[in-house]
Amino acid sequence: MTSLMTELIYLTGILGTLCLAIGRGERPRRWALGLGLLTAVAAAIASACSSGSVTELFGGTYRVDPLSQGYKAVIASALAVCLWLTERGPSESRRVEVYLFYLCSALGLTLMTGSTGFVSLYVAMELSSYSLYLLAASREDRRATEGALRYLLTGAIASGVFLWGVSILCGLTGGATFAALTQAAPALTSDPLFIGALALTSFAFLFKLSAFPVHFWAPDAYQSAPLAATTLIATASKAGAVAVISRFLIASGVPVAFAGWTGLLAFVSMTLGNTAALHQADVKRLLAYSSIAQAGYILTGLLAGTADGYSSAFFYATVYALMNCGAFLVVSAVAADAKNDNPTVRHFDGLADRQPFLALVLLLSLLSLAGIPPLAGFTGKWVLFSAAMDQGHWFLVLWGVLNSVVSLFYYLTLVKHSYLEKAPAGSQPLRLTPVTRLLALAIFAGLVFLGVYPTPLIEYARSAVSAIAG
Amino acid sequence: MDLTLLWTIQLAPLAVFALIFILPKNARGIAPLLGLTGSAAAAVSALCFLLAHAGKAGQPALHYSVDWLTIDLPAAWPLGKAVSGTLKAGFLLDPLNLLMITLVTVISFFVQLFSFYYMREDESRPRYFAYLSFFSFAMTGLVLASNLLQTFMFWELVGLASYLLIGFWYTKPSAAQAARKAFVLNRLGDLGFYLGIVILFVGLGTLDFTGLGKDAVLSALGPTLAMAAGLLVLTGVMGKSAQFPLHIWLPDAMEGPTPVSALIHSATMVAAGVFLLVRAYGVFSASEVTLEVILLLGCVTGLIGALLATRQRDIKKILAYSTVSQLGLMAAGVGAHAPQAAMFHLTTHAFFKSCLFLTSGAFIHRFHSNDIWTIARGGGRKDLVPMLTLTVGLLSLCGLPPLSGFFSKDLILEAAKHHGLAAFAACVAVSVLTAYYSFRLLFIVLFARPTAGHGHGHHAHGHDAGGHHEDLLGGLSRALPLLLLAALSIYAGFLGSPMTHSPILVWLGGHEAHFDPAMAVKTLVIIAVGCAIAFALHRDPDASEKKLESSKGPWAMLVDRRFFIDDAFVWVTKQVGLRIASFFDLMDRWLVNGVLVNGTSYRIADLGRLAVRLQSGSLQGYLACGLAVLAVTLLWLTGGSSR
Repeated sequence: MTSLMTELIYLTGILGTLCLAIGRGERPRRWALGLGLLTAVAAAIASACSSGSVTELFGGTYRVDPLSQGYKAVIASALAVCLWLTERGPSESRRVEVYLFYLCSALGLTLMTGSTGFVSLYVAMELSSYSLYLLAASREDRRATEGALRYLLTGAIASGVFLWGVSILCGLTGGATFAALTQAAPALTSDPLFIGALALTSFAFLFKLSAFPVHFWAPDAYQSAPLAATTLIATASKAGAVAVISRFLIASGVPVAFAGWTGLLAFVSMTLGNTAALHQADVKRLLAYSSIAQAGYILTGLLAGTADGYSSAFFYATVYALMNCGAFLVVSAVAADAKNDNPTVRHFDGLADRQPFLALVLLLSLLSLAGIPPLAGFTGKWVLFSAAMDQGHWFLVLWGVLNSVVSLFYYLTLVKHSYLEKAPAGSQPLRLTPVTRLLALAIFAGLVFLGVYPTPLIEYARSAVSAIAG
Repeated sequence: MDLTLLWTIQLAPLAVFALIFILPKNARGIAPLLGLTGSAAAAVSALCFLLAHAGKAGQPALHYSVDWLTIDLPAAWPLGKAVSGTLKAGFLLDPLNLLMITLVTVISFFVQLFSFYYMREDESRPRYFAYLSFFSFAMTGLVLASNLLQTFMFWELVGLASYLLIGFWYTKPSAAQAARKAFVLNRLGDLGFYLGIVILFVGLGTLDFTGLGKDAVLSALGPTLAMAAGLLVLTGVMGKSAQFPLHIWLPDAMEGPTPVSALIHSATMVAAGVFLLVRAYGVFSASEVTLEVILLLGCVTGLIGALLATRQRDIKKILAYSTVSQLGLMAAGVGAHAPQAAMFHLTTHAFFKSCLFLTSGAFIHRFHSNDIWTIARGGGRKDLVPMLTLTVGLLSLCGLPPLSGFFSKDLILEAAKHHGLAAFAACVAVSVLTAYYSFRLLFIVLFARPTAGHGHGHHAHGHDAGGHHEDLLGGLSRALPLLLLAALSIYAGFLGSPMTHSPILVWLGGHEAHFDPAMAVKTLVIIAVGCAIAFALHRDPDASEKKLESSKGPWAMLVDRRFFIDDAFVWVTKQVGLRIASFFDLMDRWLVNGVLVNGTSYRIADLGRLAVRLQSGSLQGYLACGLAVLAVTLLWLTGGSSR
């Protein structure tokens, strides 16, 4: 029972929020926010505390082990930040039941990280996805609905393709669990049907990761969802996707042809995301394209198919959640100040004068996203790319490094606006609540710390991966 | 215990530096006190160390070090051989740098004390004391370093400190320019130094001074490379110790505050080059050619410096050129196989030259002028303490027995005589010139008639400023360093004199000096000649000033234009440097910026436009695209692998 602590905490939180959702108005909403935050923090602590145990549950379809607990902690922490960001979001996206969806989606993601059977995986994935569709639509204007609909339909197609792939895999391996897959995989590595089934199955993961060719929803959904929901999609949801892909690939192995296919997708994702981001003025859209490009980087590390690759993917997912939280924290502060949930780069003019600390956090987050040492993003990319390099994927790595150069351009555009442009006349200093300031400080410290001293986390990831593979 | 003392010496000034910058604005007033405390702590620690270890010759050196980086490079171009070795970080303490560290910390303390008086009216006093402490930190690091790379790092840091302090009054264009000149010329020298370090490391696999003996260097590198390494390291020395032709930055460096000139640009930092010559003597003595080059450079530098000093009217410029010439003498001593003599001269020179510089500071602060005639007419000779220390310092500088300069300079002359006639002649000429310009300065200050106007101005100033004489603290911090340094200039020589069996030389690993009556007589004759010429020309300061102003001969022009060395540097920079630069400028604008950078970025932006067009907004399009990609890849995957 203790191994399911995190999930139980979420369930409790969800039930509590459900009860609160009966009420209307501001007070239940505040209660729900408090409960949500409490749940998120408790879940993070619970998963961190149980990070040593390995338990297999429900007939081998669910597993609690260091890797899943690590991802769960990342997801819960990201959830906490997102919930805090709702506080200053647009008012219609701040109703009580919204918090229910936040918690449900986080529960779904949490279950995803531990699923080792296709059925449980499917249920968990749909739980998180449907909650996210609703969150994306929670702004209640035409654009938001349109964006959410695109998200939903793309997701539905991805799920369909996923189920198709799963049905073939079940037929080939004679079981619906990852264990069966692992057993049958060595004999099947050159079977075209098997490789095709892997591709079909991973379609849903690519959708979650917003990688080419199922990335099209991302810019629209990012742009039209309320900022807090966008943050959840950009951080926790990505971490969950990386967790699932890692687990799936650990179980199936990475046949050469499949690696080639993934490499091609990674190549297109990076290029497309980075070049398209060059032309964006809406910051949320810009970050959406940035996440498409980052999906390419992550795929590069994953297709190495080695323990190093999976552990560096965990490290990068953590760092990625951290730096996106930093970026979105600043964006939401600027958005709240401008009373515009879709800030453009112009809104960042003179941020360094209006709120120097926030500008600094933005600077560090973006430089980290671009992979500049000594920040965490650099270390993350370093381990990711060196894992791919070890398997001889030097072309992808080279391309990834060149892409980082391109990405610097649009990241630094934001920095340029906040540091070099003058604030519009009559603008006030931007006020921060103490909690936001504390959060920003924590992210700032995390980015620097993980960049300078990444060893403990990387070691943790290594041992977690070897606990599964071995 | 030893290690604690060493860390104190090393870190106390750094702590002061950091502390001054984090002090709140209204507490910055205690900066001088902090600086004084830090330097006192370092000086006391160094003295304790000296007392504990002095005189124990043959005692093994103290060596504390930790491995820093282990380098293992496979054999590859351009070296053609595998490189492996360990870079270390640590302290190496032997008699040589124990002497040097004491020198540095003690003089540093005196200078901080004097600065208390000299800088009391300056607005940015905290910054001054912070920089001064930073310099002390860097200089002690340089001296205590156990290997060449660590030396190099601190070498650069003292360069930085020197840059910051020369340009301390950065609003003055001449000061800013002088700082830049010093920095650039030093970099020029350090480039060679660095290359030399690389050669040594590749060849030997270590940079520890203990592993840089003559035989080790020679056997690892072979004669040619050993010569190259020695000459390259020598260029660093030329920059720092102002050897010809890189000496031109030192006179300009006098734009900094006078105590800075005393500490950095005469006693310690510029002597670091000579210190390195002695410290890494194995590297230089591995090749006879290197030593000959050092001797030649030393003699040329000595002559040029001394010649230029004879026609200056700025008291600090006289002392600066004198420093150049004395540094030349020290280098000549090393070149003539007498590193201990050079080190001894470095020690005595540090005392009497810092004494002289602080004295000039005392004059300058009182008479508000650097001009010796103005100081003289203002009543310089009536200012008793500086007048006394000026006399002692100058007499020691020209080597009058039994002052300290006599013993050390004598040893260098002897070594030069031993080496060859040309070197000896050059050194004698330098000595005569030294005696001449020393007595010139002394006679002008001594014999000038005070004019009423200047005297009045002086008194008026004294009253306006509340009087320097009445202020006990100011007076003390003015007189005390001067008198103590003067005392040291008198007595320090006995450390190396034959009468006391030259403990310092033996300690440094040299031979005991022998008293040579003929040499002493020669020295006296040299001084007498210099003194006589100076007396003949300058017994009437008014006339000699007129003569200086009106002389237009080729010789006067040559000296006034500093032998055209500065002009040569400017010419080369303009004709060669700027042409190369403008070529690269063109390439940069057209090829790099225009074609490579902008061209690439425009193409990438075009690609992005294409990617954006893909995002048409039509959901059917998105899904069709996604599924089409899937279908194509499925066909490829299944079809490709079945064949």
